Amino acid sequence: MSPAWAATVSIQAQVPELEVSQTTRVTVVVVGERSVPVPRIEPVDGLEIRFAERSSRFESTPQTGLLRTLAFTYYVTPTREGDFRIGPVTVEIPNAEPLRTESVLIRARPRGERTANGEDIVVQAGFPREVVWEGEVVLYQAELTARVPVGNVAWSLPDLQGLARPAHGDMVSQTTEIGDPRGDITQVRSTIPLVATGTGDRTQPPAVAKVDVLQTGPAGFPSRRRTKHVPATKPAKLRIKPLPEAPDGYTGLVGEFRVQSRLGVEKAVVGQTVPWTVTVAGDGVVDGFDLPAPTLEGARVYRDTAEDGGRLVDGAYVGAKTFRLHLVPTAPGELDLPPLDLVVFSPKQGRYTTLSVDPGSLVVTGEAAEGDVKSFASGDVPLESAAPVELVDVYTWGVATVPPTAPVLPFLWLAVSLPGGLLLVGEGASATRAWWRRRRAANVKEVRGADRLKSLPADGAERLAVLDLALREALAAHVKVPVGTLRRPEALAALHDDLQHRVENAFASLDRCRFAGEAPGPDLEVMVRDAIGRLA
Amino acid sequence: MIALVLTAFAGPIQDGATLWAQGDLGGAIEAWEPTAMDGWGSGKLKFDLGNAYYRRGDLPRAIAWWRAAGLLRPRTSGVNHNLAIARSELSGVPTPAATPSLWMQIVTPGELGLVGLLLSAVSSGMLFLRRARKEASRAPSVVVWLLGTALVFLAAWGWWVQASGPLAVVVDRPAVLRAIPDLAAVPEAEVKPGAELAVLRQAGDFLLVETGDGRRGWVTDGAVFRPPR
Repeated sequence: MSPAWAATVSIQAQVPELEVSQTTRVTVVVVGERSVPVPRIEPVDGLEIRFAERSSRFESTPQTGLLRTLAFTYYVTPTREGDFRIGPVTVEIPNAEPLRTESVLIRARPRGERTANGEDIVVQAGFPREVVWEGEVVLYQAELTARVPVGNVAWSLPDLQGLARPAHGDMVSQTTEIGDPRGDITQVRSTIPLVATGTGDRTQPPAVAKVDVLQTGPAGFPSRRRTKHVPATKPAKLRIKPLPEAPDGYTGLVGEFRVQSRLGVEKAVVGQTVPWTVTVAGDGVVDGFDLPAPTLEGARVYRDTAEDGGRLVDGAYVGAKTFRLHLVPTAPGELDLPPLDLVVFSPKQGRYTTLSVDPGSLVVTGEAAEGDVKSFASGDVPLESAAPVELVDVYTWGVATVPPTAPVLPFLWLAVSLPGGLLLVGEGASATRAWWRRRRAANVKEVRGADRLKSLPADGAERLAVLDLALREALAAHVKVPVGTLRRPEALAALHDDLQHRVENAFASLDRCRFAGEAPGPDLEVMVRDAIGRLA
Repeated sequence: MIALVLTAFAGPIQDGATLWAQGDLGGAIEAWEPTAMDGWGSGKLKFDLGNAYYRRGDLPRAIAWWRAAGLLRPRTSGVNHNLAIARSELSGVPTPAATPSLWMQIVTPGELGLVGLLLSAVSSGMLFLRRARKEASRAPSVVVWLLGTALVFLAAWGWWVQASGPLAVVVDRPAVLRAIPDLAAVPEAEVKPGAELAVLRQAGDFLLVETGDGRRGWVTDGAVFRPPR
């Protein structure tokens, strides 16, 4: 189970080597789920360290949720020459243990070296070592240093004589920025791995860089105008020494190599196929290298595949080749595999050396392999011969492809659940509508008869109509029926005698005035009000 | 259906199995791998590929294909059996990363989705039946409908997670773990071939991976093999 706070922290310097008073960036990167405060870098004597900026980037996946990459950048300026170590930097994590980075080394040279001689753009190309051996991998480095803003940089390399591109390993380019009192510096460095194939003086012609220089506009802001500069480097010196006469068994490898061997199992039965892997890796090319066929008594060795590769890693070339072999024991007993001896040429030592690796041994049983399992049962328990565990065998028939159903699941779900869903939604809508009506009816303020008496119209006929309505509403409310369904005789019959008499009289007086042309008397309203009051 | 049955008896699985029986490992792999790599390979096909790579001694790729087969055939004991054999032959590799979700060890997203569909269909029928019979309570139908719907969407999510390639196996040579996705970053650790890693995200040519015991780091995409879904 991963911890609640799972983060990785690191520190890196953009330019680890610079001149006094120049400024580079050191970045502390925190990759994790949460935000963290700005890490504090302990002061280093001889370095000015200033916090520059904090940037963050967010990503989200279903497995981890939100993951953020926080980069805390600091400007670092050496004030004197020397080697300075920054870090380890402690990153405080809220509600968790703090994390610590490694440290980085900043090397400061005195001012004046590698200056641009007053030129805005300087290019140089060359090899880290001017004398190499035939067959060795050399790194051709082309570097552009600019004190003006630059855009694209494209290199036109010369026809490199006596050098060849290896089968594996592409060019790597890196751009760095350095702050300098005489103007910020941009460095673009491209590194190409090459194999020394010729011998003698192999000084290479100049390389040409095509660089877009961004013109500055008003107030120093970069404008969109660009001018093309085509500076050329000086010739790159190189001398390739021929290899001395090769001893017997020389593999053709040139470089500092190491060999690893791994047997798939430690115990096997006669006839069992045992995988055997041999890997050769180092700073040279391995394209044409082939493993000498190992021969041994008591087993047959079969070759399977071999894979090779190579690339630039952290400024150095790494080539590797893996051989897969199969070893089939033919006789029981302890099978000691003979050491693998590979004769290579070591440029560091300037001579041929033999790399040796002991592949180990294999215990071969005639019938079945016994495991070295210790029994914890009391007494002497005979250790039964353990049959070799076999794989569950392959399927010999079946469907080879299965179109995934999950992407169409939501659509199928929609199809099968739509009828029921629509029914459910319809019923729900009906129920909601009924509920809403009930709620609205309950919320409507019932106008009672007594309320109508508070504002009677002035017109005589209307006044009588309102009095009649008020009396009917009061009666309906009294007998608890809607006024629309009120049956006056039944309602009056439900009243007690005195009230019945008063209400009947009120209705009768109102009817006479409204429908028989009788003039309303002064006590009519009093009578109606009295009846309504008693009904309420 | 007839076409499906004919395909089952005359497809790449049978072609590869014939070569396998003849001892032609390379031929069997050539017969199985293109179909498996196209992303629609069946669990049986991936299982067979795992066996072939194991016999060739390429344990990391065998493990990768068996893990892929396990996602499609989680209840097949042979997958776990063979995985256990291959893992027992490796040393120094971290704890294998678990499947993205526990339920994927029991059922595939497709199976789960079909159950969800069935429940959704049943709930639809129950709703109409209730209305025809003028029964008052709709609660059982609604509960079944909600359950079916939840399963369908869980299945779709599971498929999406699996399709994003959640598992990588280190192959050929040790993979370097780095704190940030940059070749210039200081290597922090190495994981040996055969290590089964959970892929958390991808940034360019780098993958953020996590071992089964919780260690995280960035590795180059080329250092690991991710069997297609």
